[in-house]
Amino acid sequence: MEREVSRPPVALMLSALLLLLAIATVMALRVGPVAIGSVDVWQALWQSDGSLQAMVVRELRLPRMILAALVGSALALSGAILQGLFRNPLADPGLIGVSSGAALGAVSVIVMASWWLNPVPVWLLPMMAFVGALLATLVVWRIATRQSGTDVSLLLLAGIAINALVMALTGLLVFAADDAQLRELTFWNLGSVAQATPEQIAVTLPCLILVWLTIPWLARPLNALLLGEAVAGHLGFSVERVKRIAIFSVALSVGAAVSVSGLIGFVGLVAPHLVRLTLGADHRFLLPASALLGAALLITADTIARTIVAPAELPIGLVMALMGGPFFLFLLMQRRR
Amino acid sequence: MPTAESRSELLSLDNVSLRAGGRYLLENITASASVGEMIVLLGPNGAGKSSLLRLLAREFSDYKGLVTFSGKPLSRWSGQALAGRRAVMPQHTPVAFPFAAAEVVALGLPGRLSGDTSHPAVAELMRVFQVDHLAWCFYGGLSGGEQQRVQLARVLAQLWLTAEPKLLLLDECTSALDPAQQYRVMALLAALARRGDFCVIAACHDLPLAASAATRLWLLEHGRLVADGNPAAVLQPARLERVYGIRAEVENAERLRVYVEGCCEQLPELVWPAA
Repeated sequence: MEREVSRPPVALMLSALLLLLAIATVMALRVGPVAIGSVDVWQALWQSDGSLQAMVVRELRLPRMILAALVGSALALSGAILQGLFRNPLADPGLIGVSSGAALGAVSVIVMASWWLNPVPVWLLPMMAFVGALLATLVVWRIATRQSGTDVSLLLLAGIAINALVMALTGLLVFAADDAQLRELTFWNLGSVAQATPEQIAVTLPCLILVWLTIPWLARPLNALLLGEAVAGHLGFSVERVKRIAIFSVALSVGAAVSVSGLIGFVGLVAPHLVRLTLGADHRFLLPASALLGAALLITADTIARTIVAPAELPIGLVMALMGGPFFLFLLMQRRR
Repeated sequence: MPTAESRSELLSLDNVSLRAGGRYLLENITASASVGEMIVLLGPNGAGKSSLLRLLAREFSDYKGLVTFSGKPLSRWSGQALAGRRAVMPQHTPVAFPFAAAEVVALGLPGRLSGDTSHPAVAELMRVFQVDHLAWCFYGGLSGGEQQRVQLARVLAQLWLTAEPKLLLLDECTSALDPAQQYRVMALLAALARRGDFCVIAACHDLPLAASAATRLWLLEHGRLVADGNPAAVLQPARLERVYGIRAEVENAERLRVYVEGCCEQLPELVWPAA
């Protein structure tokens, strides 16, 4: 029998991904301007002995690593959900404008909220990021979906339009911003987890837990949707409810990720694609595996970002774009065949 | 022939009409279908075969009249309960993303079994439709006819665990098959109906093929049901000439045979631009 498709055992792949994540984690805590051995890292994690090394691990690298993991898994997961929803492997929250929508929400809070509110409530920024992501997803959805499926060119064009519009609006806000706000805006556009704080983790984590909880519920209906909306309906799924929950999950995870780290592209494109190459497109495995891989990917990208030009540091969004851009071109080239 | 008890009514349409864009897609259709029947839906292009199947598959909600499935109005069924009792095969099912054929079939399995390629139903159904050798080939790489047989297996997998009477709605499920496979598939579906717990409704364009397998024919024209009966009663040369504009010879010996001819007599002349 001819066997074109071979699927490795799911348990093996998930273990491999966990191992990968563990290695990325250890590397992220060890590597940097202050080199710290594994044993010292381990000790520092459990108790602070007041040394510089312990402080670097506990107060700098650990929150940063955790935030990179959360943001990476959020972006990868939302990419995987979007691709299932649009039945298209090119749907990335960055490319189709969802991240931009979230960024616009966040940026307008940074610049404008202080005009009316003093102090600005801490929840306002993540909430506006969520609202922005939700609006962008809905707009793209309305433009790109047809009864027969999704029009790829409309999907990507809608993304270009939203990205351009957001860039223009952000440009307008730049004129209204003061110096401190300008620095923050630059940080948004390039994407970074450098200023990770426990508070940011506390904002992001509950949103992501909420999204993770939808995975077991979303996986099977998203599988059915790959056969078309009508067929998903025939199979007994409530298609409209599935779409609403999927869009809500995407907006929530992208909003949470963007509100703490700015615009980081391509994670949602690269991670699900690599998983699909090995495990296949079954969302029961694709969604959790993408989240794991996305976390490992962004932790690694962040480690590279802060070490490669040390003592200076690259924005992580730039590192991801340098890795993801060629990958995206490669995907496009493959589609030509 | 099914016995009187087994011919319990599974589906009934009472004066059903469907309008779209100011014209009737279906008009005043009254009919019923029972377990044990293999009904083939005939009619020229645009007669309303797909519309009727999609209406029965509950893809439309704005129709007039009453459709009853297993004694309960179709609109009152929950999606999950309905999915356990009736399966639908559309004309085309494009599959996004690289799935293997067996994975497509397994997506049809109900509830928590969905996606389980090791379930015995997957292998059994793929064997019956002669696609078991393609189980781990990419679905997108299969020929149109192979894809169609994989979809048939997927659709039947949905009803694999159902003991109650089941309804199968198939829209041109043999359109891409070679003649041998066409007759094989239709005979398999007819055998399924004869089991006594299935009612099969299949749209089809091939009159001899329909006559070979159906226990009943529904002939549609301009959205109306113009004939409903066994193949010998429906396939009358005069009627076929009126509905399809073809001359057909019908030979009703032991088995009904239909010979189609005379479709080409009033062929318009193609005016090709001169070079």
